[in-house]
Amino acid sequence: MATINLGPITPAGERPGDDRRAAERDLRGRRVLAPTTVDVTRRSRPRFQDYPGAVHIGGTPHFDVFYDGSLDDRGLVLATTVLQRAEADLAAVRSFFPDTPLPAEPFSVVLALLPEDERAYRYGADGLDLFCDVQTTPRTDPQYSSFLLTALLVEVLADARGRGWRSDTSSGEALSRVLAGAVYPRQAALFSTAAVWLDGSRRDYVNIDRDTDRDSSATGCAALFLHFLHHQLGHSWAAIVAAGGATLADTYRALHDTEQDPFPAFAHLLGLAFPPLIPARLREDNPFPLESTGHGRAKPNRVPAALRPRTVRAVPAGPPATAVASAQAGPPAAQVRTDRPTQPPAPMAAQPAQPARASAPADEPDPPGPSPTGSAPVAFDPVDPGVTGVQSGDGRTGTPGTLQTLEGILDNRRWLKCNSPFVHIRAGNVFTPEVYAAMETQYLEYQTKGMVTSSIPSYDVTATAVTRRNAGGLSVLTSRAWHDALAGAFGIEATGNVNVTLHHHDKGSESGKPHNDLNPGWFVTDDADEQGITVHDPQFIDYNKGKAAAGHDTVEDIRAIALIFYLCSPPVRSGGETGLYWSVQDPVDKPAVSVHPHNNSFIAFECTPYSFHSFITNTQAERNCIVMWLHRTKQETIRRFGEDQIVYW
Amino acid sequence: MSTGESQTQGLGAPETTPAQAPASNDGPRRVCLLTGSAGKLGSAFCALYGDRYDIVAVYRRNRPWFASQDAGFIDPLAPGQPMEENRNRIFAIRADLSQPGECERVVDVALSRFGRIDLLVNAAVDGGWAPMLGSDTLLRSGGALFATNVLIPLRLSTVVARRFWQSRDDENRWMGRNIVNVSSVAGLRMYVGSGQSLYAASKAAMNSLTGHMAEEFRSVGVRVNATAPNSFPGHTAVERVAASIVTLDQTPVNGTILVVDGDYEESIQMVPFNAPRPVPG
Repeated sequence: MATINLGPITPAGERPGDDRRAAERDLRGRRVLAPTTVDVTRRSRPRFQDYPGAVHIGGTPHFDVFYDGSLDDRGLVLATTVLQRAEADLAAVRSFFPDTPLPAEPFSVVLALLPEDERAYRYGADGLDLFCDVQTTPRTDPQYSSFLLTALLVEVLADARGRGWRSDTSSGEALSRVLAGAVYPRQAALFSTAAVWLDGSRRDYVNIDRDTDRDSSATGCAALFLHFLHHQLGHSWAAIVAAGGATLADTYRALHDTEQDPFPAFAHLLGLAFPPLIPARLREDNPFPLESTGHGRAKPNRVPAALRPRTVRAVPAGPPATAVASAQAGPPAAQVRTDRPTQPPAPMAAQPAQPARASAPADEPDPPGPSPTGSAPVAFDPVDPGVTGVQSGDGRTGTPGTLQTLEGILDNRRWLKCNSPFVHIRAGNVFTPEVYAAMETQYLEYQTKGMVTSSIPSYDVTATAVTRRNAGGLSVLTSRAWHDALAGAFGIEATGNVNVTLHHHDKGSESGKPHNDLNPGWFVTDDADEQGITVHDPQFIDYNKGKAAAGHDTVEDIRAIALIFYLCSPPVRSGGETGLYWSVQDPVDKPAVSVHPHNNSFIAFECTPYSFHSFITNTQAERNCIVMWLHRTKQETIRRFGEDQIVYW
Repeated sequence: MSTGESQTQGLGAPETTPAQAPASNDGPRRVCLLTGSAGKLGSAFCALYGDRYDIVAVYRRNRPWFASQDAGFIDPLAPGQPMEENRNRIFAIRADLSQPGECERVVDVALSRFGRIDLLVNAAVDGGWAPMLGSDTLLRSGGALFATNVLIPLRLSTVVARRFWQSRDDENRWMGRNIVNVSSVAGLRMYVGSGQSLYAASKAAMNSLTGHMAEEFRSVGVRVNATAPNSFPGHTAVERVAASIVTLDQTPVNGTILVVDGDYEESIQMVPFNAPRPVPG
């Protein structure tokens, strides 16, 4: 462990031997890390040229750390923590540049509130005074400053290396962000630029290295390409750094000993996952690894890390991996890739251990269900309409492109059936990560196309109907196998008529009121698929009233099972739950059972006169779910509950 | 009778050895009253030791994900088939222990169901972190935090003692009955810049409380210890933390804080050997 010298607090100017570095400051030589949202070309010169009131907090063999005196105790806390981490941060950065010598003199790190367009900077390519911004609201976050320091250290070593990665170029700027993000993953998203390039004209900054570190589009392209090299093609960061050339394309060629231009394949692969002219909605710089689905599309890696399969096949360094080859070969092979070339790197720096933090309340359970296990490749292709033929049964095998059994796509066969306050079933990690990712993708497609806009009277939600014709990645929910599994779990004889609807609750949507869902639903009788499942389609019939298009016979069923499947919702500590109640008169915020909306989980219940439930306001984030109903005959409902119990619209 | 002057185990180690105490897989199942049962630690404890304990699982809001008296697992592809997961069912009680009478109700229900309580695990935690100066969160929620982390464990422990343990000191020693408080290394070390001032203070209070409880509960033959883990599951495996509860249940220590920090464990004796006893009268 490095020795940390917590020396006496002295003004920066009084520090021995500091005269030279406290000399001239020239803004033209700054190396900056600017946030994406700021158009730096329109900014005036920064307000600060120096921090004469900086206070020296201590040093290590390679660092002296200061903080702006105006920060008071917050600065002291931040500087102390940054000082404690500095040597570990440097060690992490040096692991990326193993052969690059360090400057002879120590770095001077100054923590201060910096201008919003320059979150970190230094003076000149050989500057050793490293100015880093601080975060003091809503809480002090030393990792933010440590991230910025790490980015600057990358720039210093990149400049010292002298071959590629110049810090005043787009590739050098991207490298500093990407490697600092490898050390501090949670901070990287604050400086994400990939979406700027994806949402722009997608110019080729792989073969062109821009001579500026302030072009967010160029930086975004470069950051994406660096992640592509690491996470898609499996090259280590050290190998990528060592192969640095005049351009990123040169780096690729050096890594693969080829003359190939990598940009077309790189851009094509991203184009499959993020079609041009559609907002990418990418909040970080790393969407990789991307998977070819075999239908001219690539699946973004939106599966939460905890849900990803553990079967990881490391792609050996050397020749380029399949992604480039397949992308260049035109339509991708008709096979779902389930291998991951590599896992994201673990943080390199030794992070101080944190004590038991209750990021969620103590009563907050982990997402229910078993831990994800290594999944066999899933042949199920959610983009293929043929999935509606998903079969019940025990068969596990399936060849790519063919139908898959329900067992093959269920990730959890431990569904918890509860009796109070009424019979309901809950399950987490319901579908395999591949299937769930396809469901998320389908949801995002609905959103992108502006389909989730229908309102429901007296309910603070927007919705859209999922039909057999537009189900796409959600089509497993409209399959006979899924229908029968749900009906079997409740011991109910269902008619095969289903209604599937996507609900979107904006953050802060109002709570509903307890109700029981024992409502009628109307279907046409001539729209069943080959397995006898009719998915309600509003173009043929009004579900509530039964008004049908000409030429269709109709039938009135009654809801038998309601299922709420949660997806695409940001993790929250509380809010957005589904409440279950003993009585219709219970306060909505005091449910007997509260079901947390974990993604890829569901709650289902039999619709009876007493199945009171409600949406509870989501104060922290949007909530999205699929609501699905199975039905039984009206005659059977009347026999069980009496006609007076049916809640007509 | 123990005089509580053990020279090797701190205060009041009962004469009952771990081998005598029926806490192993081979003996009768011990009855464990567990708060915070739906949290990460509570869930791990139920999953790992449901075959060893009859667990009265207290939860406030979210139901523990285990088979219980009114819930069981089914296989959606074979809903009629028995499942191994249903063999050891917890006894789940929903309760807000901060409300008047709820501690008493929980203990009464547990005693009605199982007839005894051998182990009380105070695992419910309020982990509110916030800066002191940047917001009013600490000031607003501090009372509830201290109640959950300090006062409720004390209240529940005293309710169990008064309703069941108080008149059974010999039986308690024979059965190795004890309390395990779930504390945190935050109560022993200071982590700067993380806004956990009040949380850490509450854990320091719990550590101190554990020592005093150990000293006072010795008179009814009940040991009191605490486990102080680092963050889990991020830094310390939650399974290790759950195992530390069982270790404290099975080991005749009293007034011990067991630090579980990754693979490192350390025990801290809160009460000095031969601690002076209050002078009667």
